[in-house]
Amino acid sequence: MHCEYGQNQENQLGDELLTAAAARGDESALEMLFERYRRPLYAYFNRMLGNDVMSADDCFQELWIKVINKLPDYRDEGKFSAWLFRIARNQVLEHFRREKSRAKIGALTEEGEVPEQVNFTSEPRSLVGAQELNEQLEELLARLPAEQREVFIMRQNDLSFKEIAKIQRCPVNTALGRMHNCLKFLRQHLCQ
Amino acid sequence: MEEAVKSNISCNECEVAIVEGSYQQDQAVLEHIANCSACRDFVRFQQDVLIAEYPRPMRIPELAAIRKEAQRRKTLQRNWLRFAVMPGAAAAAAALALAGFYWQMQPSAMPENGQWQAAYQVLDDDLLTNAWETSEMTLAWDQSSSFENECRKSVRAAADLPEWSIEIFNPYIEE
Repeated sequence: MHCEYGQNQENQLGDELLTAAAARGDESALEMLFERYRRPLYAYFNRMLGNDVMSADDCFQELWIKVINKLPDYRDEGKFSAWLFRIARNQVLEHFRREKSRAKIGALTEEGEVPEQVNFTSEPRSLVGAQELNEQLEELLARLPAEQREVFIMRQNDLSFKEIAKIQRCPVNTALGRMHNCLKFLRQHLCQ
Repeated sequence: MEEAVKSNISCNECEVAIVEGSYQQDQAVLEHIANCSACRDFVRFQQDVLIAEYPRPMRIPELAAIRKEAQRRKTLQRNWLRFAVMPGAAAAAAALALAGFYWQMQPSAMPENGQWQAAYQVLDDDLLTNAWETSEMTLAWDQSSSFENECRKSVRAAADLPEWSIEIFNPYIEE
């Protein structure tokens, strides 16, 4: 199918235009959306599913199949990324339901206790390289209650607390509190 | 010096504003941050962790493969519609038509006395009630007749109950 937009405009194009075009069947627009969100969503699934790559692959595929099927009916009510993350979250919950893993569902719906102490470098953060920070961060995130981890990931993807609260079906202040607790925990361990 | 300027707002309040992301619009918070090294560190820390990338290698499924799978499912769904739902609907429609036809063919409720086509038949309420309970019936005549057998056939057909035992009683039977 003919693409209405030039490749050089890709970065300037907003989600609104792309979703509208993709909803009309413009495959290039869908490809641009896919390209834009594939990494954050794939990372989200990996982080929420404990780096279970096969499950992350399944959820990722199911998510995009839903997007492909639902895009024609998509109504622009808020950010496209928020819509994607809402589907992604449902996908994770659906995965846990399928697996009948009560422990995991519990982890996703309850605040959880303070995670165990982790022995990380006591170097100041400024001396820690980016890759090392990313890896340490990843290990720390894995130890956080799933709801806090999720808020953090969504904040990384520029979702507002209002949008996060809507996705997590909780008050905005709860989402804020989760992020605050998450940052406190990360800071405590990364800035020793 | 630093402490004196930042005293309008507490570090806790400042942290909340930083987490919320609204601090850049709040002059008091900005002033606090400018004068508080701990809060400045917190701002930097938040910025650093929020741009941190997922560090593990990602072999992300291709869109082409996902599209293909979506297409395959659509085809399956269509086939299912074609081979299961549509014939099912047709069968249901045929069953409905048949049921309608059968309903029309059903005899009406047991008629009142004198409604039978057969002549001279005497049916009273008690006779009908007993007949439904026992599947037995005796047709009685109070005058001579030559239509008893026709009457029995018509009662059997009208009630559509071939297993009923229908006796004939006519003391005035014609020679």
